[in-house]
Amino acid sequence: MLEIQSLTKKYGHYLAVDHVSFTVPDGKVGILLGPNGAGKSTIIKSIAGLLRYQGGVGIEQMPARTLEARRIFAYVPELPAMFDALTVREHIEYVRRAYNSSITDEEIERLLVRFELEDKQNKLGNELSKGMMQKVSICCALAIKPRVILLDEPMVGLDPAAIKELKEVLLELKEQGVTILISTHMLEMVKELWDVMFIMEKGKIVGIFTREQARDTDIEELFFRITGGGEAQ
Amino acid sequence: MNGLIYLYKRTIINRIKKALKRPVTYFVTVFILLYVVMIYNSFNMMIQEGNFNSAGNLVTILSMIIFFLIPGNLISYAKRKGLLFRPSEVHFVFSSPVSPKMVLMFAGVKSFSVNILVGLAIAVAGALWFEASPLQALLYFLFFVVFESILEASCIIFCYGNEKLPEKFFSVLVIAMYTFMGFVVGMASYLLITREPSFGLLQNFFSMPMIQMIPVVGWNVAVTRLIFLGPDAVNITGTVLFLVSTMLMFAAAWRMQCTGDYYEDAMKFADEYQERRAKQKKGIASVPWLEKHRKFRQASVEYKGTCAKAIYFRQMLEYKKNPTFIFGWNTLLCLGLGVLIGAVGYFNDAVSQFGPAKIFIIPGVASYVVFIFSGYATKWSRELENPYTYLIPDTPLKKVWYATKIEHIRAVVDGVLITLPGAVVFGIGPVLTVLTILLYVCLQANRLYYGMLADALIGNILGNTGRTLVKILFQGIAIGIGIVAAIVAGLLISVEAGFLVMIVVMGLLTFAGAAASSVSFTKMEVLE
Repeated sequence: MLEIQSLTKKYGHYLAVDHVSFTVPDGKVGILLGPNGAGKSTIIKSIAGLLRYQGGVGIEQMPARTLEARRIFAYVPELPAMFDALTVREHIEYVRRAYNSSITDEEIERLLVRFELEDKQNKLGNELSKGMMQKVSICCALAIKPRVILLDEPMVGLDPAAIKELKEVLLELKEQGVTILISTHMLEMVKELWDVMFIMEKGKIVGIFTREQARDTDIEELFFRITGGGEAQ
Repeated sequence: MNGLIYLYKRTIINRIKKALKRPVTYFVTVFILLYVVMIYNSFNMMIQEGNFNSAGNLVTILSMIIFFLIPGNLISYAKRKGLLFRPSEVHFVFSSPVSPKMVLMFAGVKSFSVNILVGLAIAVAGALWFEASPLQALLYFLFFVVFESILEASCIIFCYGNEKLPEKFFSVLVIAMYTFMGFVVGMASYLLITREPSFGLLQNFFSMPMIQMIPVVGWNVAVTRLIFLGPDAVNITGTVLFLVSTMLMFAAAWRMQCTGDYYEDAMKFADEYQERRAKQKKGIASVPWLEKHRKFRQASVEYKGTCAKAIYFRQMLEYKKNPTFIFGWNTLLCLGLGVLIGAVGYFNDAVSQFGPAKIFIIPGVASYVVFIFSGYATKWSRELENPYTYLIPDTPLKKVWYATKIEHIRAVVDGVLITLPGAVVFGIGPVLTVLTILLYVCLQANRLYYGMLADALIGNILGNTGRTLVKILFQGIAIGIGIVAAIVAGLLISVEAGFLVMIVVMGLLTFAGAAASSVSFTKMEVLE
């Protein structure tokens, strides 16, 4: 479970996130939507422990900043950054050691095959394209075998095959009871994944819907109904 | 922890493997070795001949370094800019289950490794040149590597990891450190001005008990004195105070609660650093403070041409929006240099000292400046990163010309600033003055186009250093040919003719360089 309680973040005098609270239950996929500048990335970075904030973030009922919570938490940032001198395989090996993950060599091989990285294993971080970096970043997050995973615009830069694979992986994780939160602009891509939707605007949550509540309403329609945009589309 | 060790191990191994595959590594290694030998020999001679080889002198040098290094380090840590985190570390290390204090130590390892190297260098220099015994050298090395590193690690944790003290405390700490450094410089300057300036004066300054009793910095000097000069009441007291304070700092750092609040500052600094590095790689000079506070004016431009000419007018529009127009630090530098040439010439009576050769002073200085300074990238170099530059339907040569036209205008202004003050003082006639300015413009253009040519020809094959050397080589050849032609014409006809021939020859060579380098404007791939 991922719990956000009254999260507030200011940059100087600018209030980027204003008392935001929401919960993504165990084994559910939450999607965080909102126009540019709504505060999505700030929330994601705060949950990942990269920003100072007021309020609370709980991962499986543990404060997010404790080492125990971090051990079961994975984060895929919007812009992946690789270690220049580490190969693809070494990135995953580093993660395995840093998190003391139980992932086996065979599982790593399977992961690399799924994301078409098996022939790129020995490529260094600075030799990878943007899309490949994103794939490595996703593989590293999965290598943790997390209980909670946070993905910030994970589909950006991925080829269609990788997007399809990622969707399948996320559904598998969901079946395993992993809590997932995805921040994205690509509404089309998360249509079949989501269980609970959080719509943000100007630093606040302005709408929360579960799939049951939404019934057959289209995700885009829900989004534009709340944010008031998209008339021209 | 296991992960961090793995990270370091693999990074070092892979870097070494990669370096061994590059020919430039061997070239640079030989160069560094030769440089070290040269430095060793010249130092050896200087120290022996100057009777500088006493432990007391070593202590004075080290004291000076200590008085600036420790406050300097503290300032950078208090500003949370002393440790370098890369975006990859923000991505993979900050969110991992590693204690934030351990993450600080992971970044600090780079500083601690430098401590080992510096400690080793001081110990070797002490034993070789300053009559320190092997035991003294070893003791200082251990002190530097162990205690200095403990102190530095504690400072890092105290400044970065502190989540209780308000930000204002650290701002005050930074101001206090700057004030302290200013005070030391002020004191030293006062002594040097009011008394006979000598190294002995500095020696006396740092041996004052008051100086050795300044917390941390002075105590550090006391330890140095104890090791190299033997015990006295002051340095023993200072040493005890240093050891106690280091242990207390260590205990405080150990007990301090740190949940990772500093990640935000570290992340911001990592992004800023990455940006600055990218700019440096492209040769763009940037001052972060100025970048942040830069404001643009309202401006407009009338496009008096199409195709490649549009590049020039767009650049002009950008420069018009810039509060300082096309001028910048380089303009000030040229003005300063011009005034300096004039002032030095005036006060040293260069007119009578140099005789007819006075006309070569300004071109000599200008050539030196153009040759030595690698130059800075301006708007023209950014044209090469812009896909639209390649798509404009015009010839590459025209694109080169219009992309760099403003650089030539700027060179004319800079040339005037460098030349005029000296020309007035030396009484150089208008024809020669104009020729000198033209020569400067020619040299700048030469550097620009030959640099572009080197980039286009060798790309990244030899790395940055290799590319710079090739650029210097190209330029050196062009200048050499120009000088030979000038000497011949000067001897056969007149000095003015020599200048003119040099400008014509250099101009032709520069044009050839520009034509050849226009290949850079044919396709973007050339740069890769």
